[in-house]
Amino acid sequence: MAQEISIEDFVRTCYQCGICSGACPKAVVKEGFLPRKMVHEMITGNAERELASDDAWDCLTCMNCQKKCPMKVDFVNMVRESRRAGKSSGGKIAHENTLGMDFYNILKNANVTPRRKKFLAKDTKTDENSDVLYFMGCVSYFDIIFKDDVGFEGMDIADNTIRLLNAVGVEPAVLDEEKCCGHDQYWRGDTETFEEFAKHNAAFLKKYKTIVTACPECYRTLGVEYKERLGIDLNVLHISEFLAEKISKIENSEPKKVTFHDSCRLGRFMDVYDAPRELLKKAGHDVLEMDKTKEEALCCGVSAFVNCDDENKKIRQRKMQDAVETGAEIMVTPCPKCQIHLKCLQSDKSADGYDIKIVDLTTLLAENIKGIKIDSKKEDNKERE
Amino acid sequence: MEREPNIVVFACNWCSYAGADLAGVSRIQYPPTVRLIRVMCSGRFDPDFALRAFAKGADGVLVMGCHPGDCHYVEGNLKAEVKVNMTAKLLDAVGIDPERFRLEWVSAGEGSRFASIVKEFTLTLKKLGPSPLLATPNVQKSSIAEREQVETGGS
Repeated sequence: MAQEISIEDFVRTCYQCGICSGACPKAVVKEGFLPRKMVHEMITGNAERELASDDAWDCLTCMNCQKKCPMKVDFVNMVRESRRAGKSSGGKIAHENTLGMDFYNILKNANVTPRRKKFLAKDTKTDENSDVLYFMGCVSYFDIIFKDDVGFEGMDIADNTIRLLNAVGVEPAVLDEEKCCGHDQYWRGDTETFEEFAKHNAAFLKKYKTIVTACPECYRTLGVEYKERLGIDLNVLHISEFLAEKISKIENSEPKKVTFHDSCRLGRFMDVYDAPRELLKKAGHDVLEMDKTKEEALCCGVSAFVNCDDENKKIRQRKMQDAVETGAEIMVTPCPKCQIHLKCLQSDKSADGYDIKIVDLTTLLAENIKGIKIDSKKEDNKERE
Repeated sequence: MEREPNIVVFACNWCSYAGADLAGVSRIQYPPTVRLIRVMCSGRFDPDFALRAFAKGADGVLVMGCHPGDCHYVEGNLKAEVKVNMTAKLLDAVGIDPERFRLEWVSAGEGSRFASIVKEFTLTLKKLGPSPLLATPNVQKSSIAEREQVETGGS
């Protein structure tokens, strides 16, 4: 069905007010990149010319423009379809040597079963027959690729997510069979690979009542894209939503000043702003807001590893500047990839250090894992219902 | 006839390629399972080389360089070691046995060492069987279907 819609149809309602260009973080750093201009080309019969240019690949698909649009123009999907049309060769994948086509060609081969359980810490408890599945995503691969390089702590996210779930009385299932959710392929316009991954995963995921994930990209893809593109209906929750419902208080003797980075997939794409902040407050942390926050939050600079260059670095520097200016000692990210991108800037010798610690939400909460108090009233109410 | 494994070798120009050459001119016998690709330094090795070789159907990948301290470019082979360790872990995580991927030091004078490494690696790969990427997809699918039947039948 989606095939019948032409690319222009996503943006036809545009009345050229230009708010999108004002909201776009990329337009600030890259001269000549204007979402309004892209849409104008699309709806005035110059679609071919627009598709041949590299504009679609320069977009961050961060949805800042779309949230501000008075006509609810579906800009990010227009960009995704433009990439899919394959008329521009402007898409350069960062880390292509390790995360390029060949890696995913191996991964999508039906005869290969990835291994992830063996990388988990020994104190994590998992149970194959649980109702709850923890969808780990690509953190196990990213941990290998980026740990020595930029200090990304991928397996810590996975371990701590399971520890937190254990602390609220859930022993989640973790599957070796699970493959990449297909987020990056989908947003790079490779819908075929995305669908292959989706069909492979859906066969296993359907059996579980609840799927918990600590990655906003998996959350968006499993929750929305699988349903919209393939009609696979899954009950997916981000770890912050799952925990916010169960935890009443986290006792913490050392509260810290923290600031929360709203990643685009969790915030603007899925409208989850309060659950992670609620959790941080329950743990006694002082949550300081950045200049641009929630719906207006700045992107970390790259999505789906597409076209990471100097301009994207400038966006990242602005983001870090925002975070440092709040006076917080820790920047909390809910997204593993945001952590990679931001730590990449920190590890860059030419950058000015940006002296703020970047920690994943689960890692910060797991520091006080023994102080977790479960909301017993809610549990009782549920049982009575 | 028994299936011979396919091995892709990335050999450095200064030591290992010359070592293979010496094995040839000395008429040392070794199995014809290797395809040598000459790189100027083992430091030229890139994780994508191994990933692509496996994606295209190799059963094993060997990276060969000068012994530590002997590198023509001073420390290229040490850089190779870092990348090889990372790639081995990555292959393990995606589901390819890391035994199929190896780094060896072979100097220009070690023709017999080259031959014995190839012999030994070929034996290892024969024991491991063909690369999992080459197996017919039907086998895996039917095993999944069977397991599903068992699981749904049990519940």
